[in-house]
Amino acid sequence: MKKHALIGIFILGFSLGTLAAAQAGGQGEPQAQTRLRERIGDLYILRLTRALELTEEQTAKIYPLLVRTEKDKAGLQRRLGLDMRELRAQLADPPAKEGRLLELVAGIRTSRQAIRELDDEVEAVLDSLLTPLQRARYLVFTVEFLRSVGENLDRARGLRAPVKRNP
Amino acid sequence: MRCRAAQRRLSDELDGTLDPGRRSRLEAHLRVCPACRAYRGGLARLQAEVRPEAGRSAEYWAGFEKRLEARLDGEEAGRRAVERPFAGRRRVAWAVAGLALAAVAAAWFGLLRPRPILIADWPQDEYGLAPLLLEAEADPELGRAVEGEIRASIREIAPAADADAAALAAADPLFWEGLSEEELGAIAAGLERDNGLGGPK
Repeated sequence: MKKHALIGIFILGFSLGTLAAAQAGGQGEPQAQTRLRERIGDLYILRLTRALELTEEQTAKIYPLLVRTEKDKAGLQRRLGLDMRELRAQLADPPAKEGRLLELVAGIRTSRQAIRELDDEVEAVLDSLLTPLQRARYLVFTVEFLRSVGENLDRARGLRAPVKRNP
Repeated sequence: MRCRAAQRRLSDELDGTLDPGRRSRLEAHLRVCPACRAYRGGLARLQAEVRPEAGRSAEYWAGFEKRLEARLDGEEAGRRAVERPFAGRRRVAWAVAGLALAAVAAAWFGLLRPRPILIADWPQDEYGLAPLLLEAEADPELGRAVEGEIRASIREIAPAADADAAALAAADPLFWEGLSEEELGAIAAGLERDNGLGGPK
């Protein structure tokens, strides 16, 4: 019960914090998409903690890291999205300014690399805190989660039949 | 280095244009990954065997993309106005990339692989492919069949096309930038629905 209360507090704080950030600093990026991405981040954290079966001590150390990392990644993803939008706009309205194109490409690559580095940092910390069994579950969870994302996306695009569930 | 990143860099490595740092990381990955080693072997053989397209003028190829784009735009006008992953200019880019890969795949199957071709009358080499592509421009049904074969060829020659490798594409931050609000909503809804079942085991 104590562990679930702790999890609940962190998730609530994260959700409220990111919602405020989304309302305050969207800078033109569709807020609905921002909120949806952040909701997906919340679901990732929830499913991860279930999959890893963290102890209270692990939860107290890992949750702040996950929450902060997801928030940082959301900011970088927002930056990347804004640069991509401008890049597409520049390409759609020739003649494109080459200097600006290069700046945007560099910015997008920097954001992309920074997001990947945040993921690597999280994995390094998890490696130091998780048992071997939990580390193995983390790896399998990551692939399963991403596969689930792909499957739901395919379903949305009509490329896959709806999931049939037994009553 | 992950397989996807390694395979992206193999072409530069074979061309001798990969910087030393990435080369050493790529070599370290190849030492432990048989799938990527096999993929590299296939690319190296293709590089040695594939001959450049002959018999077509520069003007022919300069107009090819425009003709293909016009054909695809004509098909798009009849469809519902929903952003699809292969719509508009992205479809053109995908189609051109797919045709180029199909030429490589045809050379691979025709010259190097002993197994049968995917369909009975699929061209044996890249020179036979060109007339088929020209016909596909004028015939939407044939075009769809060609596109299907291209995708099948790509899946056939991509050594890491298993479910796990495909799932890891979603780990790329750029993956999320192409998604619409509707698609993000469907992902979130699906994850929430799956969450109710207890998540991954």
